Amino acid sequence: MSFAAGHAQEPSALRRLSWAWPSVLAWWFVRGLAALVPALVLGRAAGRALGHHEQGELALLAGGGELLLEALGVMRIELEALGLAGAGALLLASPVLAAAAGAVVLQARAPGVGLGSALGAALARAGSLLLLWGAALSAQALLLLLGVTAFGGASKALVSDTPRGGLVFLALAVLAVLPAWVLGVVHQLARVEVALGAGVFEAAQRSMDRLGRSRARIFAWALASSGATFAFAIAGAAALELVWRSSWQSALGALLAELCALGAVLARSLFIALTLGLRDAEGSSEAGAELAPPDGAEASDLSTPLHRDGGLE
Amino acid sequence: MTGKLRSELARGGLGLALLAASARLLGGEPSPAAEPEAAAWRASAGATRLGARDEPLPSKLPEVPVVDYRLEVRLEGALLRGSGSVVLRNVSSAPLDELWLHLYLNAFEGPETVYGRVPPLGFRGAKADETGSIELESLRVEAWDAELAADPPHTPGEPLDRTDLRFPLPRSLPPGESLRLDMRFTSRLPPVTMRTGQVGDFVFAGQWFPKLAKLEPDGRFAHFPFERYSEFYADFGRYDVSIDVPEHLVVGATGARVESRSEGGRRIDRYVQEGVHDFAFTAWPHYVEQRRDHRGVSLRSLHPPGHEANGARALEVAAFGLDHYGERHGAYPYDTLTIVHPPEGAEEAGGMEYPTLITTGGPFWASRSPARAFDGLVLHELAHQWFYGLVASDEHAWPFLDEGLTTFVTGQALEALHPGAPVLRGTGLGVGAWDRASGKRARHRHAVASPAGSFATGADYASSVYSRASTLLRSIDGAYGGAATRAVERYARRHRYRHPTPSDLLEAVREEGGDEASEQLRLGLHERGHLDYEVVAVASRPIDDAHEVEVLLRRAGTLSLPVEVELRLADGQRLRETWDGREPFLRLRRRTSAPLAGAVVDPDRRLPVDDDRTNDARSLAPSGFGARSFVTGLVASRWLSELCAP
Ligand SMILES: [Zn+2]
Repeated sequence: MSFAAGHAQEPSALRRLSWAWPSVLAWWFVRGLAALVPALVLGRAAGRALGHHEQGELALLAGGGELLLEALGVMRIELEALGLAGAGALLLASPVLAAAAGAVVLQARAPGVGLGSALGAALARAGSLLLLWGAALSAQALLLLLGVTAFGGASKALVSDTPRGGLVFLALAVLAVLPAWVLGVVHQLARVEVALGAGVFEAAQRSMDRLGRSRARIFAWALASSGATFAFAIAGAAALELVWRSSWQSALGALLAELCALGAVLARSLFIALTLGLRDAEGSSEAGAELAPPDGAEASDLSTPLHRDGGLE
Repeated sequence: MTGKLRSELARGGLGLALLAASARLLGGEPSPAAEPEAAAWRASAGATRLGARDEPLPSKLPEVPVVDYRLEVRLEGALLRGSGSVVLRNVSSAPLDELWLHLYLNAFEGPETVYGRVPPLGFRGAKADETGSIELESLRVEAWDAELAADPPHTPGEPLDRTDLRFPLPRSLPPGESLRLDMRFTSRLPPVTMRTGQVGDFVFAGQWFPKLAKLEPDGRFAHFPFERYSEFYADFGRYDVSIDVPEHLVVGATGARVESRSEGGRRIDRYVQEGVHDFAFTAWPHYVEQRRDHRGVSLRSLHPPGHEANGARALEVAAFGLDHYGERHGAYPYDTLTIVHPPEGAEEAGGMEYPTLITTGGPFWASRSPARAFDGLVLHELAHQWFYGLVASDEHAWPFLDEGLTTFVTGQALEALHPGAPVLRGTGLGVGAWDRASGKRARHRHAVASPAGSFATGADYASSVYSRASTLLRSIDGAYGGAATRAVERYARRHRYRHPTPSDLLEAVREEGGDEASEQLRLGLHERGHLDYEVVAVASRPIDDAHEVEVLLRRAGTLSLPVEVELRLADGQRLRETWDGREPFLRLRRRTSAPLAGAVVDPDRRLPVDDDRTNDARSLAPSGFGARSFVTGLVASRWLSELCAP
């Protein structure tokens, strides 16, 4: 009956992550593939504008950045095309991206699941994963809009143009994005359920339940995961600085930037592995199960937590 | 004045962040000078003395000022009740039969004033529904026992505007004679807009009193209505102003405070200044004051609570600027300098210059931001103490003479204050590149040397008068070995306490850079002169033991500045030649020891006036793809995707 006892037999999150590495790599790869489209547009535009300059693209930065400022003006159309290409590529890639995330869940759930079968199973759930993604993203956008609107009103009333006001501003800004962030956490939890076979609605409900039960742990993990992602983003941007130096530094910068991107996927996968552990510990009857057929998983998962809740009284 | 400078620097920071291509700009630059003053002194110690600085400086003011104002003003909320006198000396060569007075605050009387009809379109002052006015209750010549009345009672040709009024005199005032006008007036300040106004218990009073138009040498007055994009023009004189305010208000004003007394819950501060052509003051109960003495100048910073860092930085930068500009354009001659940072809600009073008083602006963290916008703002407004203040050109007729020269010298001051990173900390982004990009926005639509009222939009005005002017001067510097910098120094010294025109600037350029330099600048300023150098084609073929190389260069536009051309050979050799740029194209044929790899015109980027930098180089083996941009795009898109599809 002890919660801890069941938990002790669960594989560690790192171990789960080690099972899932092919899917982690796939996730990273698909994201790169989508990003390739706008990147190619930009590379071609830069080549056309600067190809005749001896320093090549570094000419952008010579003379105090004259060409960079000029390019930003001249390339306005290309930048628009870039935005469109980026949005299009992202849209096209999103089913595969969602499936890749799902495959991480499936591989982290049990050892020895091949990438092919995990990805195949996840692709079978791609519709639901995509629906979840779309719903979460729209709801997040709405929450963000509401948050920012409320923030605008509150900051007008509460923020003064002083250092103290600056702190209030920051606090309000955090409050403004907090609901959207929490929803993001729920999205990650629900993604696990959907990958394991639940419908979108049940998945949402179950993840809310799970969040209710293990609030502290989940938020701590999510915070760490978001923090790590943020740190990787900063490091990735910093690596760009190298890209704009000499050729070998440029290659090193590109490599580091890609490693940072991989780091971000790892951080999110680790979060998935951690919540999987929590989930499996909750559903003791199911612990250690191999990749279960979606429908069966759905039925047993649905009943177990509710049952346990009663027992814990 | 500049609201523009601030917003542009801010906008630029954003654009840069957007395209992380600037990442390399972000590297390898010297760190910002920890002690700007020390850095500045090092810089000036190393500089050679330029000939232009030997230009004698008029050390004394005219014995009798042209105008002598003695005013008393009582502040009651948004109302200023004023009385006093102004003595006008007829320094012209003709007898005066009329006077012209500017009642600038009447610009805010309604939407149909000359000012009210013009939308800002890219310039300061967002709305035109403010209400402000100035009623001249009495204007009397006691000596003649005559009350003067405006005829017509409005700006000529503008029945709904009362900012530019003519007052016929009952008798002539011969040259050399003086006339005392006694006046009583009530000014109603608008909610803060266009540099002046009142909000809550804050007051900034600019253009608040009946002000005589500038008397020109031929006896005519240079007068004009208050226009949206125009600043001002007036005679040098003496101002003695007593400001009567509720006792708890902190006051800052033009000149030195010579007296302060309290009576009945009010305080009367008397400020006196000679050798200036305007008087402004501010009052607010919450001002925090910081002081600093710098080489005999008493610096005073007034700022809102919480802005201590801005206030301190303003003093530091102003001290640097007094030395920097003083050395080049003649020492600052006044005893005081007041720097006012308007509070939240009164931003429109910021970014403006008055004699011995300048206003800055920005959030409490402005001076700590990586962008140099705050330093740039202080240096810009301070530079106006020379270009506008001491060198009192007509801001209405030739706004580039104050704003353009100010932008030009401010850029150089920023470069001296923050060597290597004058725009954004840690980056090599240059002021010249910035001016160039801003100046290109007006696309030669207007001549730089145009009156303020002749620009279609505020954005055109700002782009031409500030940025394009500076870009032209930088290009004259680049083409003629620093002639513009030296000329501006000579011009500033020679015309101190005077009212020079563009031809005086061109004359100084001629002395420093020759006839051609002066003519090119004239074309650029007055004739919308523009220029684009281009390497059209390159070719190379082996002949015997050598190679015959050919480069076709083209000049588009109406300017023709001397420019360097660099031939790059495959073995790494570089051959440089100068092209005078007089003909529309040049076919350069040379026999070289190695095949040609490419050619570049203006390789050191000395001519920021060049309209298109992308066509400055041509290579025989161009690269067709930008790998660095590709990686940058890849990384940026990846993270965008990370955000949208977690
Ligand atoms: Zn200015």
